[in-house]
Amino acid sequence: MSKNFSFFVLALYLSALLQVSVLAIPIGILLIMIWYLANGSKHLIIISLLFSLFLSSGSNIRISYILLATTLSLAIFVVGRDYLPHRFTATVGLAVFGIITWEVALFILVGLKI
Amino acid sequence: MGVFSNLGPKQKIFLVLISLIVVLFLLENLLPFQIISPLQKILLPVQASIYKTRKDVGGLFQTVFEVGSLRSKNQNLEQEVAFLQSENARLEKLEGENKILKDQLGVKSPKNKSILASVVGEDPIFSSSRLLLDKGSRDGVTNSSIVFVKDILIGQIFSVGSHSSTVRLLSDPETKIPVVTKSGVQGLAQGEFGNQLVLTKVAQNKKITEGEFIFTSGESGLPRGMVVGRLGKVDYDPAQLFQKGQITLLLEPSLLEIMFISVEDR
Repeated sequence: MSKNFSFFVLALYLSALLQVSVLAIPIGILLIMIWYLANGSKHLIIISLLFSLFLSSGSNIRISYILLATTLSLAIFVVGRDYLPHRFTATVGLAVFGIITWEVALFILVGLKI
Repeated sequence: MGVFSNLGPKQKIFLVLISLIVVLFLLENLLPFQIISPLQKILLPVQASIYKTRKDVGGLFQTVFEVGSLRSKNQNLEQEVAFLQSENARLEKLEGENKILKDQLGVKSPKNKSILASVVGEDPIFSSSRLLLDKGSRDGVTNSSIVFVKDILIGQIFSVGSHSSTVRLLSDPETKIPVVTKSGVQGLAQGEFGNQLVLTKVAQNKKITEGEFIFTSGESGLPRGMVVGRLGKVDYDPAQLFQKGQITLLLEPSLLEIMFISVEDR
């Protein structure tokens, strides 16, 4: 594992902390999307799992719920990137849509309490 | 196996992620709290200090912005304290009488104790109607434990981890509490989107007045007589089946740093 990856994991942890302490926006998802743009699908599974683990420990929400919302949000972003033109506005639009999807999916899953 | 080898790298990644979700879901059902518990134990103090720092910085800015109105606010508060002190003295007298009557009737108090909990975080979903507390199942906290300050109801525990728990505040849209006004009118306190609490299901022939205190009625597993808030503006519309009014909370939960959780005495 590279030094960059270690810093990225630390950034993911901080983003999860900020989300439960300062502003309820999934900055971690945004970071994962940026990682995907820079490094492709390398370590994507570990990153998603770590983000879900950090946020789960800080928010008391089941890790499977967070990972499901994260996977759904990432799937939208990745599939969208494959089909939409690689323009800045399209990427930003996809990222925003991915974040909204994450929020809505988690809200529904927590509310359902399966 | 053949199907798996036909998949592209991205599809394989999402397949692995979905498999992980299923495994984690099953593990969480079999071993509740076990997956995140050790991590929570280590990370909770860091989270608590970041949350407190953010509160302190926010409080400092708020004081700077509100400095102009603080003097008049202070005068109003002093007046209110005087009223409350006189009311408190009267209630203490009544409490003494109530205790004597209970002793005579042989009524036993429920075996509950309250534990002190610090607020260490907020809901990660875009809403502020849930707070994270630093007490969990190892401290005796259970789902639907009551969270309060003095006699003021703050909310109810909604999810419990080993080292922390989440309190659903009264203003959460999922809150529905049977209540009674000081004059004895029954109703339902209901949370609404936008962090509001309203009094609903009040029959049209009942009289409710602005400023009345609202208490829990003792139904739905909540103890009787806890203060929910004060009745604000009442919407009286004869065409409607029920009357509706805004409830003003006595304490702003987001400003609180500590709360009490009622747990069973073990």
